[in-house]
Amino acid sequence: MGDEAALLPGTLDVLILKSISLAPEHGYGVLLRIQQITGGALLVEQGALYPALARLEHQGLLASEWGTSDNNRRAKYYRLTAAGRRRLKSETERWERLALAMSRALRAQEA
Amino acid sequence: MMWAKVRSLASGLVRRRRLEDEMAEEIRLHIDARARDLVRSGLEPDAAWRRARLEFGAVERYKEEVRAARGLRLVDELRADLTCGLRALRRAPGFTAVAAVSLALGIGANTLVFTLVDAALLRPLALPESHRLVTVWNIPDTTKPDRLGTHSITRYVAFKDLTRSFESVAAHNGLACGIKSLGFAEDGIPPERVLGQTVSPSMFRTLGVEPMLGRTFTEAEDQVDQLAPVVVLSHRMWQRRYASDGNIVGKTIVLDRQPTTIIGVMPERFNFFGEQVEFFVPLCLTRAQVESRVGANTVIARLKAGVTVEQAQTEIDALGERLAATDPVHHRGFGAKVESLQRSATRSAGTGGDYGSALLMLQGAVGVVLLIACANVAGLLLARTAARRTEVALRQAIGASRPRMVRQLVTETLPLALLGGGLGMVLAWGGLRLFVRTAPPDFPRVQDVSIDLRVLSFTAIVALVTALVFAVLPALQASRTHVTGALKESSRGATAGRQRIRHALVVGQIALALLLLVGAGLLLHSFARVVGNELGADPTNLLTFDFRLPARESYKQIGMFGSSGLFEVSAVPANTVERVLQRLETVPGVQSVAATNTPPFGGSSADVPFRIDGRAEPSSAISVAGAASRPTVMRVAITRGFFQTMKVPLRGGRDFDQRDIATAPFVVIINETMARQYFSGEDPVGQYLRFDSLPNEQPRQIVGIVGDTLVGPFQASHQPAVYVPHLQQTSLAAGPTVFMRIGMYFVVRTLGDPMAIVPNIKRAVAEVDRATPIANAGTVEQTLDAQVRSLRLYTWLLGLFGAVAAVLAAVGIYGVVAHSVTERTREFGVRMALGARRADVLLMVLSRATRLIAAGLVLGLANAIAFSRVLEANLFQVTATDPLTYMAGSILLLLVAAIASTVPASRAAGLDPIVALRHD
Repeated sequence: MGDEAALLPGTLDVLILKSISLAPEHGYGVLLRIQQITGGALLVEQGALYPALARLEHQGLLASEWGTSDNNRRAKYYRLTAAGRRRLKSETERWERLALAMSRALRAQEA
Repeated sequence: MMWAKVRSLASGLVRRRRLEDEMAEEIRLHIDARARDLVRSGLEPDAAWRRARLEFGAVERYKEEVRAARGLRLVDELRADLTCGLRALRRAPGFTAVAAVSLALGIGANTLVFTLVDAALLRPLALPESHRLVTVWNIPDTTKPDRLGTHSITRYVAFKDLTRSFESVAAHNGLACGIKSLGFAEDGIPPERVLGQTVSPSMFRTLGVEPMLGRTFTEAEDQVDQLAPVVVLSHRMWQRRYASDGNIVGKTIVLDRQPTTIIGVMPERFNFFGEQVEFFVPLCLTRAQVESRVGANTVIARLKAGVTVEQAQTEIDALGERLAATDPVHHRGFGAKVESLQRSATRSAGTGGDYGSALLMLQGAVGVVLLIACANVAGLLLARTAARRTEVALRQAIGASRPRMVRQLVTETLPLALLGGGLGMVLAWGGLRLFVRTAPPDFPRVQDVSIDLRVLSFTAIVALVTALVFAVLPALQASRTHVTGALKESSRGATAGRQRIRHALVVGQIALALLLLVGAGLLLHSFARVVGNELGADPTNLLTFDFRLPARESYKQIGMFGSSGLFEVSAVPANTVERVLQRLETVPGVQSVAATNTPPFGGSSADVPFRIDGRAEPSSAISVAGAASRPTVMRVAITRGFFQTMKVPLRGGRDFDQRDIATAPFVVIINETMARQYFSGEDPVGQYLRFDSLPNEQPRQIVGIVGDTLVGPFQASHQPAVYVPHLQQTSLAAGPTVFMRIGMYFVVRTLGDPMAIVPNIKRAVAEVDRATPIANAGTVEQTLDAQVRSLRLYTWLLGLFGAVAAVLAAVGIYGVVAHSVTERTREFGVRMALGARRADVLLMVLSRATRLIAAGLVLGLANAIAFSRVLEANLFQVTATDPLTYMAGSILLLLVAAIASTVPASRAAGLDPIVALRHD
């Protein structure tokens, strides 16, 4: 594996929300999806996923239920609630604003 | 989101086991899935699983974080702390017992007194919007604004018509027309005297009560000199005497020998005037009353919405000034005080006692007891946490934060607080049962006294607050421990700071305990003085009852005398009394019988100005209010045989006998104080005196001198008194003294139990006058007992609290000394090995204890001197700085504390040096 930046605090939650928004998924699946959509650029310590999932569920942004996975094994699936969708939308907007501002600031120095 | 969190936490708690299982399974599945992926990329299954396991990270740590994320960690920690606390309590039964009992005593006493305070002062009266109800007191003497009294009719009418602060104003009067009770009579039911109230028509409306049956009085029934023949019954009377007859309204009964119609019945929950009051009649307005400057009317009013008591007071004060100018006869020299009805209800009208302030004083006393108890528990906890320094340091070393440690130590004391609170509740409950049985009957709302939700929450709050208070202090102390230092040391070795705190606590405890003991001692001393007060007569085996004829038939007004009414009294009451007297003399069981116009030891007196014939008129300035500063004397009308019955000794001359009737020369008997004050050096017998209150008075000859008697047990010194034969009172009477002419209080000395012959007495009286029943039959000893009952109650309670405080303080000092001995055991071992004798060790221990005790006593004495002023109103013939009491209290506490410190000290002295040296 190459260099992987440590995950910035607070970003794990929004990544989880994003990856679950595409389709309901279980814990391991969320991990894989995050690695996929970030192109492996962000490291996720595997176990850290579960407290984050629990926190989001505790806040009512995720809902969970047990089901069977594609290879017929039991798994606990998470999906977004309406509140979760709203949070994802507002977080996405926030990140975009932040990224825009940061990039503008950094570009300005270079010129 | 808040609600989602709560739901999540709740479900987590309820389905805990399943949650744990699911969490474990989920993690396992994750690791399995990762392992499978690794196998697919070429690893061996075993290596793949191990690798997956490693990549996952610390499973237990993440599980813990999941629990924290779901809010369960807090719950888990609290549960663990509580369990730890319980276990610690079980392991140290001595500590637990002392701490729990200390708390229980403090909390129990506080709950008990708070229940009483709540019932008497805080709980709103059972009347609609009772916070708007006020009493308007009269201040008869503006130089003494704390003496509250009643109003004349004129003043009541002025408040009713001329004020704007009140929605409605009413008055009630228990004594109008001289009767507190009326004779109810009808065929079939024996006549009886019943206690009632006269009320203005606006009274029930002001209080906000509707009658259950019928109606209440109208304005038309409130006319001067025309007492409407109507009556409203209380619920109790209706049940008791008329068997809850639904058709009672409209029935005519004979009330005080007048046909009267029952117009209504009050509902059951209406007991504002007390359980004893059983009927209501309109205010008895006579011309004399209307014109009189004084009266016995209590004014109650309902404030308009939004008007405060202060605003009403301002208006009344201004009104008073205006009226003093326009109508000085009726208003000059008086003040008025507006007070919430709730507060007024705690002033006991009969004995003049004020339960309100006494209860608050008691609440202060139990607050002190609680402080002492908390100091005990705090000291114990300080010692215990000192012993746990190593453990605390260890926990902090492996990661516990300071807030966490404080939370743990505080939570561990919660079981103790709960135990103490629970025990305290039990104590309070028992105490209240006892109280209700022995309380004085005029204690406000004694029948409502019971532990209820408010008291329960009060106790809970007190328990929790004490838990916090005495746990936080040692907890903060303990968690400040320097970690490595604590880990290196052995667990003993208290820092100087901690010891100083404990010593300060003990000194405070002793000071507070002394404060309470002195207070209790002062009350006890005072009580002893009251009870030991020489009455001058023998109250044993004395029956007394009230015999009274209807007012309307006994006198009529013939004019005015000064600012009071002038009445002509008929001879019928006096003659009837004579006939009853003669009949009663022959009743079996009666040793002797007599009658008097003031209740025996009843506490009231009638003062009359007088003049001694043959002496120069004392040049006295007539004061502004019209009362001359002529000498006055207490005048009592009695029948023959009075002194013999009361066993008052005759000091000179003769007693009254059969000759002293209305047509014989007028005679009087004086008491020793009168003889001493006015006739020192001469013989009073044979001289003449004259009362100066009425126009037709004639000179009366002094024929005898008797010993002094007290008007009541609270009388400080003897006053001069003159006795007249009741048949020789003049036919005229002025003002309120007319009420004393229509009946007498009989006193009967019996051979056996006085109450046993009451039926015979009743029958004998009925033979003389069938229509007039006797009332209030009781023994004189009961009367005396009732008068001191509230004083006895407070003395008892305060004494109890003082004793508890002393015991708690003793426990405190025992704890400190015992702890210090334990800590210095090795030191004592060394000293004894080096040659110190047992006595030396004893002295070493005791010297520090003595310093503490002395400091506490000095502080306590200073406080006691400052605070005992509070008790001054309740003390009788005892000053607030009575040296005897202070000395006794100090010596008692000193003894108790000395014993408490000697026990561990002697243990130290009895140590085996070798064992001591090995002690750690």
